Amino acid sequence: MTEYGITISGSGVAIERASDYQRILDTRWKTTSIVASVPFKTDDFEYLPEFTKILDHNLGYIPAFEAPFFNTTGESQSSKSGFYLFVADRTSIWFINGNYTGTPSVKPYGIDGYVNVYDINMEKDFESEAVGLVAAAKRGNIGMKLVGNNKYAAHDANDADPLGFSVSTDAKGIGISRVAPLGSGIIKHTLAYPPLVKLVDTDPYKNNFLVTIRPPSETNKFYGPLRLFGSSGVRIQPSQLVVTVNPGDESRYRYVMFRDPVEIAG
Amino acid sequence: MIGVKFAEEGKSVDDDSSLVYTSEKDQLKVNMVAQPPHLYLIDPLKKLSVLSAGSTTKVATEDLFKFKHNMPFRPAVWLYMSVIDAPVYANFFIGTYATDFYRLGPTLIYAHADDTYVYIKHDFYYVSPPGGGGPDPQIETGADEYKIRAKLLVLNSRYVGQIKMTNP
Repeated sequence: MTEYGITISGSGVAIERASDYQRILDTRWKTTSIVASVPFKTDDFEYLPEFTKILDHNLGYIPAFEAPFFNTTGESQSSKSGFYLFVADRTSIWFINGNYTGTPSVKPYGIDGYVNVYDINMEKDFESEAVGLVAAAKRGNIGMKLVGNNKYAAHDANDADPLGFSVSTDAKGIGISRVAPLGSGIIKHTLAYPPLVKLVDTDPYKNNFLVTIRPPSETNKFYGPLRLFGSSGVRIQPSQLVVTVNPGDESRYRYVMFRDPVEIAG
Repeated sequence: MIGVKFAEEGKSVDDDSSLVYTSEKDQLKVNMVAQPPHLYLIDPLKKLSVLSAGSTTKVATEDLFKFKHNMPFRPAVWLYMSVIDAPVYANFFIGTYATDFYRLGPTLIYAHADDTYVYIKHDFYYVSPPGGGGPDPQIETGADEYKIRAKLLVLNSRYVGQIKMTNP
């Protein structure tokens, strides 16, 4: 048990009453740093699979990332039988596209989106300490701000936008609770609330160095919560995750559990 | 360079892989005092309306929720959802949670942001049966039989450059 360090609660929340998700910073927990956030926009694709490098992150490990996008026409991708896949290796993020038909005249629609890369090492297990859930206090007028090196707008300590600061008691950091393999069965957690979980597929092309957090693609055919390929999937519950992984895919998936509750607004 | 670094217990701040926080990097976070709020709990999300499809190649779309984010970039949005009511044939969904998007039969619910607005969208996804011909059938989603509770976070991930990819 750590007996030293720094913890900062959100403005108006007494530190001795602050649950983990009400803390802006706690040195027992890892924060989520943004390594890169890069937009991309494509024209319609050719029918053969193509690999395009989106960015070099140069982290030396496979990072967590996300790639929200929409197609440029607003039409269903199913009509063009295309697929989109984002993958990472230890230096770069790649985009793969193609179609299922083998027909040259069928060109999947272009897409418009962005890729966010976070400093979460998906090759290394991580677990931080848990703090119990306690009642929230009313917001107040005291707090602190720490100017960082990556603010998006010029400002001083009186700036009203808390996102311009590296730490502000008016901006909640998204802390990481756990990074671990996703095996079948019950995975217990101690957060005392159903947390946000993101899944990572380490083998989307049967190629061991590739990782992706799946975007909401028409071609992924998700049905129900956190569905993976085939019958694999995860259900989030207040004290546990219930996981089903297809036989043969037991070592394929990993997950990141974040310190934020589903059903509490603060 | 001036700043603050914290490493894991017993680890050195000189090892970047051991850092739990550094002011040299922007942290993923959500503004707790933004107006309109950037951290919503919508309980319940409005009763989903019924859509019909007039074409096999279109996704019918409606905005369930929309507001101006007032940020100088297109933000990342994370959506948590739980089903609080569902038809009998899908009652196994009740009490389950999803993140980012929820597919309930032929409908998809997800969050999305552009340069001005944040949306929670409801897409209807329909593929015509094989061997069909003639006019496309008009069908309903059944989504109005569900009630969804949603929590929305507007995050500070943002564009840091512009890449234009053009395939050959």
